[in-house]
Amino acid sequence: MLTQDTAPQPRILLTKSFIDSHDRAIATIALALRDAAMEVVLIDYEQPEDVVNVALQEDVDVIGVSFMSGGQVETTEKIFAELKRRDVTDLPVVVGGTIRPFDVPPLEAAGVKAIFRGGAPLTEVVDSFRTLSRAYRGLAS
Amino acid sequence: MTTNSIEASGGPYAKWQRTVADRYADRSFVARTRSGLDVDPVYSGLDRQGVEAEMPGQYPYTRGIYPIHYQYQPWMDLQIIGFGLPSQTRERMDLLLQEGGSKGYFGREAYNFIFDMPTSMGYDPDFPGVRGSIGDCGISVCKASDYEVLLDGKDLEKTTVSMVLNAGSPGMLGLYLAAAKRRGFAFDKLGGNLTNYIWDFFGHSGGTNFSPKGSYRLIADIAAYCAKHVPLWNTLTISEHNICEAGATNVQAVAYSIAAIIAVNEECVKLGITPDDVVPRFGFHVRYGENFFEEIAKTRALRRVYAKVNRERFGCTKSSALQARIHAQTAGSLLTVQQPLNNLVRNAYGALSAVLSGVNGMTINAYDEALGLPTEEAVTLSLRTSQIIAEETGATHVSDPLGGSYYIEALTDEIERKVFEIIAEIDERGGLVACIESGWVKQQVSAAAYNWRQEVESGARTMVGVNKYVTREPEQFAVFQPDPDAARMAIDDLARHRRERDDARCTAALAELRSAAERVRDGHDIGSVMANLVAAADADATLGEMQTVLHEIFGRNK
Amino acid sequence: MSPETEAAHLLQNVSGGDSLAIARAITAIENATAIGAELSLAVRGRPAKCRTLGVTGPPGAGKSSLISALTAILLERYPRIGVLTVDPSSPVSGGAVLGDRVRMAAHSRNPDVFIRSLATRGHLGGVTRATRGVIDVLGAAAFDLVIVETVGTGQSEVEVASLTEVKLAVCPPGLGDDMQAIKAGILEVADLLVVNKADLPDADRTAGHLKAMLHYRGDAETRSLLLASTVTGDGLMALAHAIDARFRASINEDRDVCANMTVTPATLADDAAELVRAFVRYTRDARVSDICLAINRGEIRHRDGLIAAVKMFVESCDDAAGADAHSRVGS
Repeated sequence: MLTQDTAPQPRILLTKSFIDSHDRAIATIALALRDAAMEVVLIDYEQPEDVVNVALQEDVDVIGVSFMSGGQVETTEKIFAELKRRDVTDLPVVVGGTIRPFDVPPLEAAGVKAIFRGGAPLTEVVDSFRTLSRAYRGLAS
Repeated sequence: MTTNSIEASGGPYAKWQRTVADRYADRSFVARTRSGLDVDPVYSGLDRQGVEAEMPGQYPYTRGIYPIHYQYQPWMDLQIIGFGLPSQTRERMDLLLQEGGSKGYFGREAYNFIFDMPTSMGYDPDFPGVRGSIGDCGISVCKASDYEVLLDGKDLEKTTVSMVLNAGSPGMLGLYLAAAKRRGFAFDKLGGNLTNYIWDFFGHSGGTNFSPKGSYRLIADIAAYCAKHVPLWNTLTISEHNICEAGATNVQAVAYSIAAIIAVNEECVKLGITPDDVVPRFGFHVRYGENFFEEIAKTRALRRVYAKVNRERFGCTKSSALQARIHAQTAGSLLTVQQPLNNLVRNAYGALSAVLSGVNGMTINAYDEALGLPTEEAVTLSLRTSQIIAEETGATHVSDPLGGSYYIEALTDEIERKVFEIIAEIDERGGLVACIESGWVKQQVSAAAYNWRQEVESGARTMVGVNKYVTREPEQFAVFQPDPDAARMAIDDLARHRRERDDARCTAALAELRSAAERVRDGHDIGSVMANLVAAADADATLGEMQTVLHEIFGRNK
Repeated sequence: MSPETEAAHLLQNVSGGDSLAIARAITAIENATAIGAELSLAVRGRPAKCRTLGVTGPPGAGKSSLISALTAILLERYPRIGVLTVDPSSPVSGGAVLGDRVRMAAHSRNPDVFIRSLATRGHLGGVTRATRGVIDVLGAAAFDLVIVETVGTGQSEVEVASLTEVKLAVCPPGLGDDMQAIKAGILEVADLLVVNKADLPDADRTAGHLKAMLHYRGDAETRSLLLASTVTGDGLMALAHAIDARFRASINEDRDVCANMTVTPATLADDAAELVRAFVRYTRDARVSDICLAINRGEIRHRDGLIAAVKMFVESCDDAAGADAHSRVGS
């Protein structure tokens, strides 16, 4: 536990499947987070494990996954399984995009900290990322 | 009774009259309103320069590509259809047919298939990492026999098949033609459309498309093959719609679309293919969104610029090479999760602006698409929207009804001017491919997208139900749930297919495909890639297997 | 535990190749925390085994895709490769979008490739303030090669010259404004020039133009000019060989001294500043706030407050040493 490791700038990972050609939403959120003084790493994942690998290399505070064409629950559950395997269970995960009502219960059960449907106000999204980042770094909100 | 009396015998109006008389003999296109007023099929007068205005069906086709359009044949309604397995999509197709939809031109059936992401990118269902997307947002198709299920019992000579997908386009056409061949249909009677979105550029990321050079080469190959063997097939769609949906403004999207046509034509010329021979089978996919009047003006500007560019820059002489055929789609990015019924209204006015622009075909989104895949009810409502416009409003009686409006004419001219400015800038930067490669196009589009979002966030741009007139209503709309088993079934079926086929024959066909691809890459035998895709599909090669060969030869971007 | 000790623990894990530890170490150095400052000092000077390659070039040249393709080939000779990509921080907000590694997805699952995205955070020169320290951390983690992709604004890419052994300049095809950027800064620095995206029409012409330029400068002998395309795969092997050849040519058999080890008053001053800065900025000792308050109220002179803070730092070092000794005794 690094007691003096303060993070002046939240670092966020935003990701979507390589197979998904829609990237307007993720690009917009990335710009919004940048304008809120955060550093945003972008990748396309092929396997859910890639997400965790990159998140750890980049030492991010929050993982945000965008789903526009399927895999919402299956991929999210695999991400959580990999986080557990790498022993980083407190790294917060947020999901967004096309999330159907029947996706919500299994996503919440898996442990996502927030779900943002398309059209969610950017300020809410940005605040959520900021709060989660500070909590992860052990800073008072 | 209705137009100014312009009797100069050589003028546009007189020419138009003669054309109509020649083509339609004694048929009258005058309609009568309920009030007993006679309505001419077109109205005309003096244009902004004070001379007699051009008529629909006359170069540069600002007012439309046909002298008579909906008065004779309404637009083709192409609901986008596709989810899960071919058998599941077929059920939805049967429903639409029953409800009076899927009407092509002249008594044909017409289907606009969309494929799931793996298929769209040319991956088989068992490719690692794609499982979660199988059957979601489109049909899972990977072999010729899938079309046997999808189109079972259909007379393919009377069925227009439109295929919407990205990198998997060349292979997909191969699958379809192979299936048609097996059922004994001659290729020269088959009509349809391949969007061929094989470029990964306009603000889209992800996906594995071909290299720019490879993309052009493949487009030329497919166009050349079809010009000879499948002459009724539309081989390329430039999607202005997708560029808008990625965030671009109307002006940007039209400009980039024209720049794409320029790039394709330049490749054809380089390969010794005459643009006149292949351009008539290209078309546009255009977005109809919130800017009601600007959508109409941009359509008119698009047609005008397209005609001018093809004639002046590429020397096209065939009128079919100068006429921009347009498939309209209402704007998906406007569909809100909040107060979904509002989307019915958005789709309706979007559709109306398309009709008033004069388009060839139309896809009206389902109102619940922001929530997930469309329900049967929503899809039917989209159909009703089209039917109401076509049969209740009288909008089909007059071509380019807003022509002559001070507003629309001014807007059209201004959009044309701005579009040519952007095209000049792209030329200066070395052409569209250079602009894509350098990231310039993506930057422009992302900036526009971000701008739009900020406007909505700040309230500068109103989105009813989202940032104004908001209600806290509980969600009560049924959302379509795709079959969770579809992925497993698709993968099992693929395994079965591989077990049952003649592997030797398939491998040989893929080797032939590879040789053909190498020859085409080196500039010879243009058209032989498509020919070999058909042969390989007929030898039971899968989409993914054919795609692997194509990527090896034509490169892979990113 | 003192920052020095914590840093030592972290460094142990880093040396063991623990990627989470490497990541945390990089964060600490980037954020210039007390631990980060100690770490920078501790890893100063990387082992001779760790080669460094700088990759510069204007935006749109395709640096990231090229690095990804080269990494795949170079892994054979350099079994553990680290990649640092640099993107500019927004001058307005201070945030950044770090999108270069999108093009390196092929390596996401390879435990022997460590990729990290760095934001400039206001630093000019093409790299970041922390880049030297991050390279050293990767050296300590037994990486064989570290590739640094600069931010790509062209003119100010010269800092990479002092940080890396071999410099590769990547040029896109085309003879527009980018050419000026290439001529201006990058050519001064590059050992190897590659015209990328060789599958595009203008590539050969651009290569010819560059060749002429090199010839005119009299540089043609010492620089190599190649063409490559990540899309067709052409030229990549040759480029990888050329890079490898440069590394082997620069090996000094007698050299067992680590790179960048020479301490000068200038480097000592920088190191001193870093340690003190980290302490004063992040210490939880309330006396620092008291000093600031006193200076602002005019109760003490700025300079005197400064000296007091530095004394606090020295005190904390002594305390830490004592505490460590104590904890060693106690354990």
